[in-house]
Amino acid sequence: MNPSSRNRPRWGRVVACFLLGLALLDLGIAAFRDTWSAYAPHPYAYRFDACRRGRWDVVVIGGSPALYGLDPQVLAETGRGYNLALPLATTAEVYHAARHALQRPPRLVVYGICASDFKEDRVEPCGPEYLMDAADVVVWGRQRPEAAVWGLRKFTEGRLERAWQLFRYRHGIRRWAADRVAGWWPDAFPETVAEARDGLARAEAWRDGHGFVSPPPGPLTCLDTLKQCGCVQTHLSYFENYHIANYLSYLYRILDWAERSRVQLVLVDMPVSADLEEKMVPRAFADFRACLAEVESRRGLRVLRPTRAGLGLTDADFADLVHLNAAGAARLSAWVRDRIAEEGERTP
Amino acid sequence: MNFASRGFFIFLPIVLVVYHLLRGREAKFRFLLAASWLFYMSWNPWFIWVILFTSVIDYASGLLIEAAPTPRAKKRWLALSVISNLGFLAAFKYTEFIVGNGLAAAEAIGWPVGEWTVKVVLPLGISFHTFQGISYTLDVYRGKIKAVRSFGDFALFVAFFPQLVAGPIVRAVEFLPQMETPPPVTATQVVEGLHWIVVGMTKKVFIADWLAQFVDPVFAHPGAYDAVTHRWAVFAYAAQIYCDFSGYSDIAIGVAKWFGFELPENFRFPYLAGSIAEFWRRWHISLSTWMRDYLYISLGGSRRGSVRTYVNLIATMTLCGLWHGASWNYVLWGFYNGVLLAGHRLYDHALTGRPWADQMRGALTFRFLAVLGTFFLVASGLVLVRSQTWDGCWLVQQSLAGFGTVDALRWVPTRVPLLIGLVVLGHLFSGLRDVRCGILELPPVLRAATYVASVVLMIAFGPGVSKAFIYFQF
Repeated sequence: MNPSSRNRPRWGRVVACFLLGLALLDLGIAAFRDTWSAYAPHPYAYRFDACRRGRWDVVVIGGSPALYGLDPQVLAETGRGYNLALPLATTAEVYHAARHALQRPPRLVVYGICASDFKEDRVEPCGPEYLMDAADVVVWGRQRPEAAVWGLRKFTEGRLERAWQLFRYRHGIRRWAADRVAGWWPDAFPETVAEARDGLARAEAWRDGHGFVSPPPGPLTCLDTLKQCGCVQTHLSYFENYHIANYLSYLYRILDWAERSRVQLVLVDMPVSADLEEKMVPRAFADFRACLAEVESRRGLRVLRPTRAGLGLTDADFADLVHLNAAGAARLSAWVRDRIAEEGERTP
Repeated sequence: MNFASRGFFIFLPIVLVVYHLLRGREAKFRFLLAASWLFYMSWNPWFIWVILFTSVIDYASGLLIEAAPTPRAKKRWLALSVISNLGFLAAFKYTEFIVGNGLAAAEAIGWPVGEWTVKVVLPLGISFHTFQGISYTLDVYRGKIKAVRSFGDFALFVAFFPQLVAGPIVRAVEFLPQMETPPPVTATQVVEGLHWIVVGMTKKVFIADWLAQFVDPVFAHPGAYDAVTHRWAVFAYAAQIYCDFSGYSDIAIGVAKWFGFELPENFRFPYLAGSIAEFWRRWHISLSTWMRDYLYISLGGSRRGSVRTYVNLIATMTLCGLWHGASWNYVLWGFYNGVLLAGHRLYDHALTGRPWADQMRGALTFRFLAVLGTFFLVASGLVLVRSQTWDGCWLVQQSLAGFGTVDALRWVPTRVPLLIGLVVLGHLFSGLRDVRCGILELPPVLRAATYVASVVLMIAFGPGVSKAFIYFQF
């Protein structure tokens, strides 16, 4: 017998044990997935899951202006509310989040819409990765052929990541380990431990706090103060080359979904800072409002238009140029609740 | 496409599957050549002409050298190959250096030169594949191998993707015989391939990339940190560059095994070296042996008297430094190593054969001190190439020598000593037992568990942001 054939079973055992080890490890990781995801909650995956698992009377959808600006508990009053707004979401992400997460339709859906939701040259990675199924990707690819391959890649990456638990929960595992080590060696990995504590706090807020994240009060969350110290941009490239095209079709899809699901849908035209709307990108907001008015007249859509003057919002109520802070969010949420109550909820 | 990138983990399985499904030598090797060129083009498709052109020149030179009727004619064709390879290397790698220094010199003597800047993009792996080309034509010239008849075979030898970008520098005598028939992949090669890929990736992704996050800021602003931080940064850089480069070589060796090819060993626990000469027999072995066989020996080696030997050593190492990078840091580093090698040779010749000296050098304590001393000399040399300014270099050298600033920030994250400890452990675990890797000797279950643990370290505990391999810039 030559040496290589004699060694073969031993070599085979190494490969078999390696693959088996990886598989067992993945099973073990999957068994504790809630722990890992609480340590490193992804704003899309975690909030999407938390919303899908619950039963809600009122759900807020939209991008980051809605995430920071509309408190679902204020809107729901006695019922249960959840804020499913997602940072960086376009109308495409908003549609896919609502359609897949709200399998048990709530009584009322409030869409806090902003001009950035329609901005055509935005292509966000989290939609294909976390919110779309294969059919959604096909539709999305047809509408945006220039980004079809990119979307497919992101979708595939997201699916592959879900298939490998070690990779999927890698950040949570690292933070959990650092948190454990901190028990007997407090100064070992301070940055990772800080990340772990921050993750746990965010997960708790998203899980038990109904998804609403309000920038905490302080000088860093007050546009007034930021302007005084010269910390505010005078030019926002995010809104450059603003035009509306494909993302508008997703607004119609949201309306169709609400009709099909017999959900009461209210749009709130989210207030932004005066600097942004009047000085920096007035045309973008004019185009957006014209477009919204057209959809409103065509579909009989219900749009609430809170204004800064009407609500008494000043720079002190904004965290930055786009987002409200806690004070602004409280004022806007109460105003929206009152308007909905005043006008009476229409039955679809 | 980086070995530590997602793209590579899509590219590699596809190439492996197609290669092993194909039947026949021609089909397999042509496919592997196409894949290697594609790999090269994934960085910059326009530079494919560089590797094509040098391959054509070296291929033709090999045939012409063999067919030349006189030694003079053989020499002429050899010169064509050497000059074209070095010409390409000089044009791409040294133009900026030469022009910049020329302008500085002109300015220093008062000639008005105005505002001139020259920017040349360096084609990937040019330092490696040009040296492979030169070694081939030199071996044909010296009669060590026969010229390759098939251009496809020769082009694959030059462009074989696992070692194309950062070595090991493979000699034609080592590689071409393996190409006579497509080498069958043995079970041993499959598992050893897995071993070297996992080990190499762990070195790169877990150790080198983490250490880089500490080393980079300290060397960028050495004045902001204290002497203790400087010392840790130097040790960390020594560990980082070893793990980065030997990690790449390990992955290249592992991937080549999965195609049935054997590449030469490139690192042998260099920080266990007890002298600078031994260090260069353990560090970047394929380059140091190349320099010895094709440059040092061509310059006369040790055959022309002791003074000439020392000059040859210093010249070879200075050129070795210049090969690593077109800057005075590298030239100085090469010269420094040449002087150390010459000094070691002098000391070695003076002591060898004296009973008391042999007894002393055989003692374990002496060996330990020699390893420590060699490491400090090597580390001090590394400061020359890592520092971004001469002032910064001087500051760190002072700290390494035991002096240095005190009133500055001390910042040594816990992971730095842990990672350096891991590198030391690896050296001791395998190097002291004189085995290539101690993990290969473990029982199967323990080995597999080690690989699983390595995967966990890379995926869950790595820094998440992978840097390009350091040797890509060479």
